[in-house]
Amino acid sequence: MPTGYMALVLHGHLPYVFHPEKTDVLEERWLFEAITECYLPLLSTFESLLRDNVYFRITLSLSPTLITMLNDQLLRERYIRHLQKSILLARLERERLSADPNYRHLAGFYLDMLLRTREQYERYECDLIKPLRQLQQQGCLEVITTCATHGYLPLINSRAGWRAQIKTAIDLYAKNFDRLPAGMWLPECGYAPGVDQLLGDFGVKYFFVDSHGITNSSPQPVYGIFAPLCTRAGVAVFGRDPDSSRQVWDRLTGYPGDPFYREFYRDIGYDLELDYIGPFLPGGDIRTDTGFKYHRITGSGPHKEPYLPDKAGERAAEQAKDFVERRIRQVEQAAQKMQRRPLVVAPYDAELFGHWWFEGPLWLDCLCREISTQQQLKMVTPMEYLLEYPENQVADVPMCSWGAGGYNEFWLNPSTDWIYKHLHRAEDKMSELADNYSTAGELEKRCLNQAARELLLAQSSDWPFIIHSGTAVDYAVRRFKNHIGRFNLLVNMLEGNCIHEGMLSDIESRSNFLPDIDYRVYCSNGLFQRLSFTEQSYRILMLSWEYPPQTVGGLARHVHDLACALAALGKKVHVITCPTPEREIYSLEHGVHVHRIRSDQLTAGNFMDWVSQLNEGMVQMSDKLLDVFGGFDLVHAHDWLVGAAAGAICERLGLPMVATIHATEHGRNQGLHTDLQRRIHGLETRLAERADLIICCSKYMKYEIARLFNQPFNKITVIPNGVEIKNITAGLERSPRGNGRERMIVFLGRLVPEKGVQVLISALPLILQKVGRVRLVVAGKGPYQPELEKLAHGLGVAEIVDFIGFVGDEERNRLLNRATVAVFPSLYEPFGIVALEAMAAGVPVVVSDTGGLRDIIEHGIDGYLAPPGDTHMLAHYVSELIKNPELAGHFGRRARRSVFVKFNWQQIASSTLEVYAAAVKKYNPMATDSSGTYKNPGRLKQSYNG
Amino acid sequence: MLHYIDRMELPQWYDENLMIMLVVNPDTIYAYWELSFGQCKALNGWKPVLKLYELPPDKEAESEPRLIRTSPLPPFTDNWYFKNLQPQRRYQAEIGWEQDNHFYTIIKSNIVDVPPAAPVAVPGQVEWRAVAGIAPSQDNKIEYDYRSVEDAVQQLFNTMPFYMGINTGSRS
Repeated sequence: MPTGYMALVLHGHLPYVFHPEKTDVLEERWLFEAITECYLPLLSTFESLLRDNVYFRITLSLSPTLITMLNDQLLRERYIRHLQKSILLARLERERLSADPNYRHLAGFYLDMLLRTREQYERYECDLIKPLRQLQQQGCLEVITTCATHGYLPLINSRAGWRAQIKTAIDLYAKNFDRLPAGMWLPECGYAPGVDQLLGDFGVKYFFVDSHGITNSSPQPVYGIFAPLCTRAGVAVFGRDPDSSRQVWDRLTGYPGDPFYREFYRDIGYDLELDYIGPFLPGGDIRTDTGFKYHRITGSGPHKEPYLPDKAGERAAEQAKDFVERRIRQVEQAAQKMQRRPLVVAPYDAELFGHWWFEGPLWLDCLCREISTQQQLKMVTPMEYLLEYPENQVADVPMCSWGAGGYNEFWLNPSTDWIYKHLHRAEDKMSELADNYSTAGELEKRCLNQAARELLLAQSSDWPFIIHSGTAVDYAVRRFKNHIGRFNLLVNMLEGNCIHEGMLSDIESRSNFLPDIDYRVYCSNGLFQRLSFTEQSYRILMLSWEYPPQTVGGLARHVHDLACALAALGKKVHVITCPTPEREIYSLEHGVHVHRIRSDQLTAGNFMDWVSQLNEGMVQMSDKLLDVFGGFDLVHAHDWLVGAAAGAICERLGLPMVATIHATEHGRNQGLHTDLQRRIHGLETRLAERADLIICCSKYMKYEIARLFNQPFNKITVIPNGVEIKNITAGLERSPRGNGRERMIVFLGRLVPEKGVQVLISALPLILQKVGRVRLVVAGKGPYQPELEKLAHGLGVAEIVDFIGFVGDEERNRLLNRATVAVFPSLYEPFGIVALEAMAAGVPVVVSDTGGLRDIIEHGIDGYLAPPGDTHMLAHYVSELIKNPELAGHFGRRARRSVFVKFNWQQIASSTLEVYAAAVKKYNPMATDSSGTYKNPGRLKQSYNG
Repeated sequence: MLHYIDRMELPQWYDENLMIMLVVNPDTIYAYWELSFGQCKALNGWKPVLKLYELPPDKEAESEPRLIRTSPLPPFTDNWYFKNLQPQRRYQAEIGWEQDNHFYTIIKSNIVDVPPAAPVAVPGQVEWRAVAGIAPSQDNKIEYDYRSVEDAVQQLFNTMPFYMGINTGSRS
């Protein structure tokens, strides 16, 4: 039995370089050199190990750009031409060196190598993916992938941007390897919290971070970097071992710096006369590497001795042995402190092996052979390790990368910072287009898909990397500008509604990447792209005392819209609610099963007795449902009125409970003043305690619930309420908003002191002073109206204030359509749905910087926040929007978009499903979903042992 | 002569309102912004001032943000590096102008969480959990003592369907 494990990970990536418009492109040589020096030699190594029955395990990450280039017909042809030319040079070199006493031993060295290379490439029929796929099937290789264009995730600004990088990569991988990748290499090991959730959504089981990503996690990892962590999204994170990296990476003390190894920086491309070497250089005269290098590192000085291949081979074998010994010592030490076998993760760039470190593939060969001869250390893939140890410590992993400094500065610094505005704006634009074109004509679709490709290509981490390294800066800058420029061109064609087919074709011809991309991967709501097997098919029992057509407050609407959105996602939703004369005891409405208890069960005149009867009725109903419809996976209770029934049903059926707390008795009344209020508070407390997880609509409510009911923060999830945009535009004539008419400030809401209308009225004189004539329309009724009227009189503004009373939906829409600005000056506001409705109508808004309103508005982008109760500032911001129609227009457009992105029901249903999944898991940690699970083990073991 | 799609240039300005902050490392934040024409008008000719606030940690959201930097902006500045910040904090920036003791904010940035620079000292409760999609089992140690490569290949072949997320109920 081994003492510990080692996972050797090679990450292969090159930026997408494809220039059909030119020949002999310098940058295409990056690929050709890597094929000759790295990928083919690595494949030879793997095959030779397999041939000799050497047990080995290597994890190989291949970027989608690299896979695409390896598969590209034009690049394959160009590679063969390049190889032929190199062979020609090798023949010339054999002759030249044969006459040189110091280098005679190297005559023919490269010729032999290149001939073998050609033979190997021909044997694979130019297809490098096929042998890799076979090696994976044989189990020695675990091939994984990375983001589509190696986009650096911590500096990508949106979830949709992350999703596009991950989803398109997984699709491309699956097409090439006939399966899903077990793990994902994050470009530059760049992680930001939240990435794990998306990886989990796509069925990815693990990813890697640098050592400090693990050690700086919270709570502190008990096994350090010798075991993976499990993020809250349930994805494993492996940390890089600093010792094994240092030994290979370190320039001065690392293995590749050995004096006997080949010197990378002495190449005949620079050393020989142009009239001899010129024909083998791009353009005939651009000095660059040819791969013909005849010296060894020797020492730090300029003098270099001739390369001695046999001696270098000996050193590789010695170093492999040394590396294994060190790893064994490491796992032996670690094992003493662990209740399991430690794992050392050693990740490297694949291009280090063979290209920069010529002897790398040989070292790897020696390493695998060395490991196979002893018992203490075994090679594993991360997936094998997880199958042995599925349970890992839960932790929050912080933002980190393996770049210099450990964070983002290698890609974000004064030499590269200018790129991010363009990238982020393009991301934002792309999502907007994807949302707006849920269906598109053929030409539009091509345009949108190409825009998505250009954005992905612009996001490649290679451009800022190259710019900052100062190596091929002009090329990287040109590529970045071309991709962003083409993206903008495509957007202009789409938005201007005139797609120039010729121009589109020209742009398309510049890449042969992600031919099957679907631009809708950029939709703000990413639900439809999830892998079906990661989705649990929940059967949900929802309890709500009101449900349409019976509506008293906003609760009925909320439960209805949520239930419908869940049903639209294919979930089975049953709602038990109060009776209503308009409906039967059972009805199927928009895919939702609605069950109403009988009205003869609700006879009590006393409110609390009536609530008891309601809850008893619900419990009885749930019994019947069980017989007719089968079981449920969880109960979702809405507010305290159904708390008792929810508790009883969960108890009897052994189900987890999710509770949505829409408002609290304490919050509504600013305290508990009566016995009834205290009793309700008690029932709310019981519901909060009993629920496995709680949902509320704003951060403000989260704090209120945590404080009032003494609940931990991690039990409460904020999911904002939603607005159905089509409800806001219903009943409107198609006239441009507010144009040329009287300037009108609108308030909608109940007239109670906490809504703050008094602050707005008090601000009116100042507003009049700043902008001249305006009207204030106050829509809504309430006990505070006389006070407000008195205030308006007192300030001399009564004649410009209209109290129009309660307005219905269509009237509200007409009012919003005429409004210049909508103001919500609340002093207390758990959520603020009316502000969202105004935003959805495209009205610029000014709201109080308080409660739930604070989370809705991005100040200066889609509205203004004013300090609550501050008439001076409120007057300033309201006047600003009245005076500055351009700005008001900007805010209105952004506001509409914000509502669409953040407050739509699909998004809410999706977030709610995440809470359901967490509740089910919390309630029964051993439960696993039925379809997508790696069920190893016991059973299997029998099958191969017996 | 290069085709024009191979020599594209970047626009100077998108006429949008944005203010984005990005983490550089645990003690540095980069901010960039663009103000639309309408927003520039809202500046009213006043000299813009950039402010950085430290926000209270998530658990104390009800306490107020703390102003930690105020920098008058030189003309034509559209980005800024905030250096020497405290790691593991939350920050938000804004641009505005000051008049008669009132600060008029014209735009606010997103909120960024700066990562810790060192292991966190907070002792946390250790919690274990199965990686999603991998069934926990008491009896799932993989044995590695193959007699031959054929055995190894056979074993991997046996486990392949699990890698593919396919239930092997129908196989044996």
